[in-house]
Order: sequence, then structure tokens, then C-alpha cells
Amino acid sequence: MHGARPRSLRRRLTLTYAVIALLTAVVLGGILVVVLEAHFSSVDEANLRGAAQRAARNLGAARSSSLEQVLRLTAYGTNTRVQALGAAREVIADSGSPQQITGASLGAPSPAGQGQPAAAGDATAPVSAAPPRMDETRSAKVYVRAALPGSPAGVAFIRVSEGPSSGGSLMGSVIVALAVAAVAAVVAAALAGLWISSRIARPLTLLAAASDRMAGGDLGTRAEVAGDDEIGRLARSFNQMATQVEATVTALQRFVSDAAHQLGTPLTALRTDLELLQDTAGDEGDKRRLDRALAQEQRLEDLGRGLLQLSRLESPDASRPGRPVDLAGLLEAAADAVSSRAEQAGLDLEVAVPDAPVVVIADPERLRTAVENLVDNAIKFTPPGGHVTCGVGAENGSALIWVCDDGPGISAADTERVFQRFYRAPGTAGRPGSGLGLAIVLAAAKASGGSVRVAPADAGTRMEIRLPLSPLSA
Amino acid sequence: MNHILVIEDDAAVAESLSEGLGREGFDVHWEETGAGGVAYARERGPHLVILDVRLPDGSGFDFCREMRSLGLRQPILILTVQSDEVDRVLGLEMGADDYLTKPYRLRELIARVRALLRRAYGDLSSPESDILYVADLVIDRTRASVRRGDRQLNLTPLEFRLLVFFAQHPGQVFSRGQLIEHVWGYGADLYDEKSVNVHIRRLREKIEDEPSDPRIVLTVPGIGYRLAT
Repeated sequence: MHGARPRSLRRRLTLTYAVIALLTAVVLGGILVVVLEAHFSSVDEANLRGAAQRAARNLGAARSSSLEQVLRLTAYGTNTRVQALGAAREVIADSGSPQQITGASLGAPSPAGQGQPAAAGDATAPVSAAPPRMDETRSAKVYVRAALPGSPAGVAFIRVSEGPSSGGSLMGSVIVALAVAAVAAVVAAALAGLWISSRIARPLTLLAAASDRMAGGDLGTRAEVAGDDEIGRLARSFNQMATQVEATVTALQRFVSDAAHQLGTPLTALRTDLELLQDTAGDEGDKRRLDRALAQEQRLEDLGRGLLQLSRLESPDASRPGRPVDLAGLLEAAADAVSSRAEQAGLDLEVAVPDAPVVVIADPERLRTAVENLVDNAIKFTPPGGHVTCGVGAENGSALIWVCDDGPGISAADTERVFQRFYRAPGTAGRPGSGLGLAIVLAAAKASGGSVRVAPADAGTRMEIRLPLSPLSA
Repeated sequence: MNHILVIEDDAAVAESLSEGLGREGFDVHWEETGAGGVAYARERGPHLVILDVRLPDGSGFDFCREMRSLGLRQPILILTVQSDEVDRVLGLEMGADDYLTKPYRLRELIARVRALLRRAYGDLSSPESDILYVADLVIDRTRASVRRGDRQLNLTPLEFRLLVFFAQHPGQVFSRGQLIEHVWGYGADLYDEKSVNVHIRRLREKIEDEPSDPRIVLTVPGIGYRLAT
């Protein structure tokens, strides 16, 4: 999730740059094409109009020739198609497409084109020119009222069309050039976007990494500050915040540790006095009350010791380098330490370790704290006559320490909560302990680079500590 | 009478400790500061020094080293709150003989004091002597009695023989079969090993300060039992 953010920023910026470049090219190109188009159209139209007027003049001048001949001559001279139209705009004579007119065909009179002279009318003014219209041949049509004196009868208009289209090849090369420029601009913009976003993303990635380390508990970590820009300022303020957080957390941890420490002295005096009283108490009631008082003192002691252990496990300066630890030896030592207690409580304590060593790289002190607390917890919560089994194994590249008991078990709803400080599952209120045992296991397992969980069990409880397996394992 | 110097800045702790040691027949002198304690130790030469680590005028470790450099050879028992291994090693490197974590149990402290005194001034008991010491217990073989302070513990003859056997072989591990042979006097094959557990449990209930957390007779998983040293 953290890795995806800078990558997406890079992608988005690159894409945005490319799109902006593309839009600019398209809009500019479009405007250019439209302007050129309009210009060339008006040039073409003027040409057509010239041809029409010439045709009209020719009609008036050349009486001897047939109507068709005149049109054809004009068409040949102006390279257009010229048509003579009647008052209702019906075609009277047609020069045909200019491409089909050859020099030879000009001489032959056309029988079909024979018509009446054109009616008189205003000669030059173009009355109704169809608006220049683009089609495949890019040709406009221009109508001219051909009412010169002497025009063949019936001819009211001259229509000129299919004139030469100017600028066609120029337009083509302009469009090609525009396309090439657009592609180049898009590529250049994308590269620029990539470069800029990398420059933005790299310090952000570093900052995110520092933030991740911080979230992971490395309170001493700081972001690299480069430059005076917004990101540099962000890094600087992140570092200020980190310093603040570190100071606060350290102060809090020191406070807890000091408080737990300070509890030790009055508790020592209290305990000694209660023990002295116990020696001299004659009455059974006093003895009972003293036992109760001592039990409560013990609770306070356990609480203080637990808090001290926790604050030590979580203190930032406590990260000590790991070294190879054989889990079998560690577990056997932990079981040794509690075996007298287990036997006295009427429990059957079994240790199952494989012959091959299971080695992890960890801080042995902390790992022992985790394992001892786990075994201790199992003994505490298993009723007399029960069984506590613990063992060591390797599974899918991780080393495993497990502790099983056939005690009351942990309900599914509690599998996460039991690791919280001072959480006590319902029905365990009368049990001994400070409520910190599993919180200490969790902290110690984490501090040694592992994890702990309540594993599914048919009956009772199964707790597992998992650690990365070292290649030193057989 | 053994003379013990207590260097401890907290009056409540020092007073209760002095009273507890006094009841056990020790002659106790209390000093509040490290400097005062060192001066007293130089002048009066107590048999043993109990030294707190946190003192108003410096670290107990420094005063420990100072006493050693002054040529004082008495056993020194360090009292600390932290049970870190670092502190342990440090404490013993400073020339201390033993350490205890606060809050300690008075009986355990007395047992340590006795053990230190025995070690420093000659072992009063050999395996064959009439008086044996186990932790803070005094075993009198001629009277078949076990005492903790002035209190008499009521052991059955078998439990007494078990305790004496352990006391004569401190630290040595015995299997249940060996115990049957040496304490019961039967052939190991003639007696159920399980019953050893029952007797050990009862013995613990009588001699242990806290039977649920045995500190005198310890279980060695897969082998048997041994006496804590």
C-alpha cells in the first residue's frame, strides 16, 4: 500500500502532462486547419466566380458557336465544369467534368447543347452563391445570373463547379507535420512528467519509509532532508514531530519504569514487616489476614515487575543485536525453571524437542522472557491434574515454539484481547497474575523479531511463538 | 554473634530488615549513606555487608568497589531492584558475593546471609556433622529436628531422612530410583517411583516458604530432584 502511492503519483503526473500536450496540439492544429481551410475555400470560390463571369461574357460574345461549345471552351480555359441553367435551374447545357474535356472535343459542336440565347439580366453580380461546402472533391458551386444581352434564350444562370482545389497538398503536409509535432510533444511532455514526478516521488518515498519505520517502533528514525522546497519543509516538520514523539514516548516509558522501580522500596519494607508479623501472629484469624495481605503485596510486586519488564522490552534504546539461539535449549531451560512449580501444582509438564537443532537469530534474553512467561501462563491457568505440553518445531521457513494445556482455553472472541495489558478473560478474575503476562510475551516476541498467537486447539489452549528460521538450523 | 552492616537509604526497609536479622540473632548496624557505610566498615569490620544499589550519595557498585580496594574482604550482599543480567554481572564484577532483587523475601535473604557467612568463616557443617544447614533451615541430626528461626517444623521420619540426604549432597541430582535406594533403603524395583513424588510434595509443603513455588528441593525434569544451592 505504501509502495503503490508514489508509483501512482508518478503515473498520474506523467499521464496529465501527456494529455495536456496532446490537447494543446489538437486544439492548435484544429484552429490552423480551419483557418487554412477557410482561406483556401474563399480563394477557390473567387476562382469559380471568375469562371462563371467569363462564361457569361463568352455566351454573350460568341453567337456563332453552340451553347455547349461555349461552355466547354470556358470550362477548358478555367478548368471547371460549367453548366447553363434555365430559370427553374434545370440544366440546359453542360460542359462535363473538366478532366474529360480535351482540345479535340472543343471543335465539335454538340447537338444536345443547342438552346436559346440567355435571357437578359444583371450580368456580374453573383446572386446566389451556394455557401462553400466541403466535400470529397473540395469543390464549391457558384451560380451567376447570366442575363447579358445576346445570351442564348432560356439561359438564366451559369453554374460553375468542380473547380481546382488550391492548397490541397499544402493542407496534407500541414496535417502530417502537425501529427508528428503532436506525437513529439506528447512524448516529451510524458518524459518531463516522469522526471518531475520522480523528483517529487523519491523524497516522498524516503519520507514514507521513515514514517513506516517510525510506525514500526523505531522512534529514533529521521527523514532525510534535502532542499528547501515544500517536500524539504515537510521532511523537516516530520523530523520535528518525530523528535517530539520520541521524547514523549521515552518520557512515558521512563516514567513507567521509574514508577515501577519506586514501588520496589516500599513494597520491600511492607513485605518484610508482614513476614515478621506472620512469625509472631498467634491467632488463626490474624494469620489468615496476614496471608491475604501478603498475597496482595505479591500482586503489587508482580505488577511492578511486569511493568518494568514491559517498559524495558519497549524502550527504543533496547534494540540489541540478535545472535543464534537454539530454541530447544531455550525451551528446556524455561521448562526447568518452572518444573518444580508445575509438579507442586499437580500438573504434568512435558517438553517435546526434536533432535535436530532449531536455530533462530534473536536476543536470547528477550526470547527467554517470552517463552518463560508463556509456560508460566499455561501453568497458572491449568487446573491440578492437567497437562502442559510444550515443544519446538520448524514449519514453512519459520521456527515455532508452542505451549499447549488442557485448561479452560481461550474463547474465540478473546484471542486478540488476551494480549492487551491488564485484560483478563471472563472467569479468570480469581486467578493469580498481574494481567501483563501475555502482553509481555507479545512485546518480547516482537522485540525478538517474532510473533505470537492463540492457535486453534481442540481443547484447552495452544499458544505459538513464530520466528524466522535461521539457515543454521539442521 | 555475627555483626552485619546494612547500607540502605530507605528507613522503612532498613528498620524492618534490621528487625528481621535481629530476630535471627544477628547484631545489625544501619548506615544511611554509602560513605558512612564504608567508613563504618573500615572502622568496625562487620562480618558481612548488605548494600543497596541506589544510595543518595552514589551507586552501591562504586561503594562495593571502594570497600574492596580498601582491603575489606567481608562478604557483600547487594540489594537491587533490577534483575537484569547486566546488573548481576556488574554487581559480581564489582566484588560483591551475591545479590538479591527487591522486594526480597526475608527468609531468602537470611538464608543467603547464612550461606555467605558459612562460606566466608568456615563451613560449620560437613555432611557428617550433627548440624546441617539448608537455606534458612537448621537440621539437628541428633535431635531429629528441623528449625526455621525459633519455629520447629514437624517432619515425618521419612521426610526428615529425605531432607538430610539432600542436605548431605547439596546440588547433586538424584533419580527417584536412587532416592528409593538411599532413603527408603529398598531395592529400586520394589517400590513405586510415583510415590516419591507424593513424599517430595509433602516435604515441600512443610519446609518451603511458599510450597507452590519451591526453592529448596527442586525438580529436574526427566531425571529427578536436587537441592538448591
